Amino acid sequence: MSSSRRDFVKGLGATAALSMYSNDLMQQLIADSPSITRDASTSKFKGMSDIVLMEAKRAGCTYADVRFTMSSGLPGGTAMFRVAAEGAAGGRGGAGGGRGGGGGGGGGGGGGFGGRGGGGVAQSIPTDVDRKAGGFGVRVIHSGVWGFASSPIVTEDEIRRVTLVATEVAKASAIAKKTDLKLAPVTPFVGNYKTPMLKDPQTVSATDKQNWAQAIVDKASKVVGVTAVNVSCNVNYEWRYFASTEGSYIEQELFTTSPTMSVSAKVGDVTKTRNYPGVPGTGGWEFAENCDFLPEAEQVATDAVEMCTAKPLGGSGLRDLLLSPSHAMLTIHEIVAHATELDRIMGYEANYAGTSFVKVSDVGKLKYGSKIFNVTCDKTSTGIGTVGYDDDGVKTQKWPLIRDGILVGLQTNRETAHLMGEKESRGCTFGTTWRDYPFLRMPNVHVEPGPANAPTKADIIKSIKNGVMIDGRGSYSIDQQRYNGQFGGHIFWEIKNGKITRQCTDVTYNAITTDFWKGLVNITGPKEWQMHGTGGDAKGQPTQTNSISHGSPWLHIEKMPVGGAFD
Amino acid sequence: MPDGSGSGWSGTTGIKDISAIDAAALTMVAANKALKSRNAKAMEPGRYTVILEPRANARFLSLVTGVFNQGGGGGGRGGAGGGAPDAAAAAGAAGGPPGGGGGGGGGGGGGGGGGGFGGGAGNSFMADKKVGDKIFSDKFNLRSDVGNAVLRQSTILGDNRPAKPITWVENGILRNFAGAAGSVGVNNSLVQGGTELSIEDMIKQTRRGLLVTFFWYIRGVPSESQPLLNTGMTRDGLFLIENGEISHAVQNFRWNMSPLVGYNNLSLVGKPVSMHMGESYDGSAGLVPPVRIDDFYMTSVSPAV
Repeated sequence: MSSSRRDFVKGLGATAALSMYSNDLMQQLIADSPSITRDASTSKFKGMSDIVLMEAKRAGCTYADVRFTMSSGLPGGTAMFRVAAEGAAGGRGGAGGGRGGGGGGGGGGGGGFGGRGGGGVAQSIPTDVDRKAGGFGVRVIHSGVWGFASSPIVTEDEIRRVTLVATEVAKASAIAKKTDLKLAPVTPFVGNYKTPMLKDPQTVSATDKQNWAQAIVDKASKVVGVTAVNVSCNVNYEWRYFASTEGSYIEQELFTTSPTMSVSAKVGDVTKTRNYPGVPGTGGWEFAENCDFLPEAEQVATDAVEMCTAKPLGGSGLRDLLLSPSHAMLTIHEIVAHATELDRIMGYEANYAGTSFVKVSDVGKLKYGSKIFNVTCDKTSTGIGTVGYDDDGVKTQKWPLIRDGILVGLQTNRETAHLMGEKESRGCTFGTTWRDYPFLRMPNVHVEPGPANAPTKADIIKSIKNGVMIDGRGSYSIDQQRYNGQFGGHIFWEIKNGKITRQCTDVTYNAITTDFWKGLVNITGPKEWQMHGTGGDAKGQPTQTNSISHGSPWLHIEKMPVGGAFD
Repeated sequence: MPDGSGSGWSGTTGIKDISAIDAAALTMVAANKALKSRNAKAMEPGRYTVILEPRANARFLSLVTGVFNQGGGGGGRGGAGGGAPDAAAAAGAAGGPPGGGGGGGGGGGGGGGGGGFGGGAGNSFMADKKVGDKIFSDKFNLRSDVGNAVLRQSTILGDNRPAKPITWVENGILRNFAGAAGSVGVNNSLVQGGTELSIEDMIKQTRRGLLVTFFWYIRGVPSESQPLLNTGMTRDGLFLIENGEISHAVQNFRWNMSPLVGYNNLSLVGKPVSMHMGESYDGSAGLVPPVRIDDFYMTSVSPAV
């Protein structure tokens, strides 16, 4: 980039009339701005944002915002083991891709580090070669309704054009409007947010990352019967710049670290794979170092070997369930988190994602579960849904959803807060990338642990006469109002008379949402609480993905219908 | 309905010619279903004869296309949502509706594996099957009709070679595997053969059964004994048929069923229309008829509207 162009960009303002930028301008701009010196108030993107905001005002819009986004994988660590005969099948381990930030809809955030994981890669913000496409999206309100348009071409002409397209979309959509949009107030913010990290992954050497993965692989691969081991830790980086006519200019840098492990084993002709997901988080390499892969490596490998000979649980009927945090996360996701999205409740997503059995009038009244059932929404912890500010420019927060079994809150954004009589947004607006229309997406949603003196997992096992213990994610299906769910898992153990008797297969349970949570009779304490996550929360047309974590203790649910799927 | 008391759906997707969409007629069908779906009665779970309208059948059909990939690999699309069996990362694709694929599951091939649901089991069903074997009902016909005049599909494969039409199943008999065909994926320009029967004609020929508008949130259920077992929900209009007429709306059912069983139980096939086959609206479409399937296993009730 020539210095004259850089100077020009620096001075870019609303009066700049030239349109000489190349479409790699944004990438170059980011590359030219080391993260530690970033400042939203003097960023080059402020000038470009001002073009949007002024064009929109001139076109008669009552509100406008613009988001520039770019995301990429950073070097992580990966190691694998294959027995010789299986070697040919060896692909790269799973590239997890944290915040789903890929090139939009399908198969996005795979954010591969795959082949680059090894040594010799610069430990820094990625070069152009490693990046996914960046771009910008403009959202306006005209005639009382939303309009949206986006582009990967970051030039002044294009910024003006896209702003006018968004305005035209709003005008055209107004034909079908019933009422004008009403946005909850927001306090303008000008500044930066960066994911808090204990160990910035850019400061950890490729060798150290590799050694971390290799030690786990070495331990797991020693177990007899193991044919393959994959261990990896992905690091995802996302950059976002937001500005709105409310006066906000917000620059965010988000780091997500996601460790994963799987072990395959073969007994006779049967090969099975045990997936053992680590706890991912917004944060640095500490999420790799803090995960329990190394101490659990032998157990995970032994589980894989036993999976090969596990037999069906057999017989359908009522059994107690003991659900691990890594399993419970998706049950929480499906029948608590989705059901309490206010836009779904209002019918906005009826055609595809669906609505909800929850009504606005249920807040403060609906008995969602038993007395020990407490659920919290949160976009401030280390969950992978955490950001500093949402895509309305609202500062993120933590708030109660269910207390003592009673529904006490919902998920809102600026657009929907007034629909439940609240004066302020809870900060749930999110668009996956620059090209996606931002709308209400769930935050991290956690089931709170019991008190410090709560029973342990081992205590709960002793208390179960006839049950099944489930870990990990398997088959999940739920109706469009989030009432009737049938859930499987990844790995299962039968519990008889207070003891784990055997590993088993062919397990599903049928959860009618409120009955299920009313059956919650026991939970473990803070020590056995974990926050597992997924980057695959899908919603909207076209489909967008969202990354979130769902913390949970071990859950003991009494007398649930198990196995009906196999009758 | 605005008050949440009923819901209906109708649609045409994946066609080349947008003028062929009769928006007014589709709206009328959807609105009529919504009106008639109010006050739905709960019925006992059990095995029912069902008429799957094209949208429901498109989803059901999508579950079997993987079995034509001989020698592993694909497996049934019913596994969708499970992510790569070996690579289900912390950010795996399992959250809400799939379609988008999920921001995370990506991951490389991760060898060794197996053990994915749906896919692996489907292939075990096909393991001893060969071309010429009877695998489905006589009434089941499936081909990739590359160049079809209605479908909006490319005639060029991902590797830039021309796609060629191919028949997969003829009168229930396996005619080709994807590997043998060499140059076309099973999901290219898929056409399930049908008749001229309308949905109304099929209702008239049905003594007792359920009319299913839409299938939702289908996921593979790993099962040692039932290859390609899947579960899903009905939505947006479920009705009881008695003596050739719609008698009343029925509360939605969860079902557990393998398409390998379902397409052996075909008893009537209607006129194909263009319909997207994936869960989201973003994916490819095929020409799909309404079908009548006997002994379809409805396992539990949902009052969801």
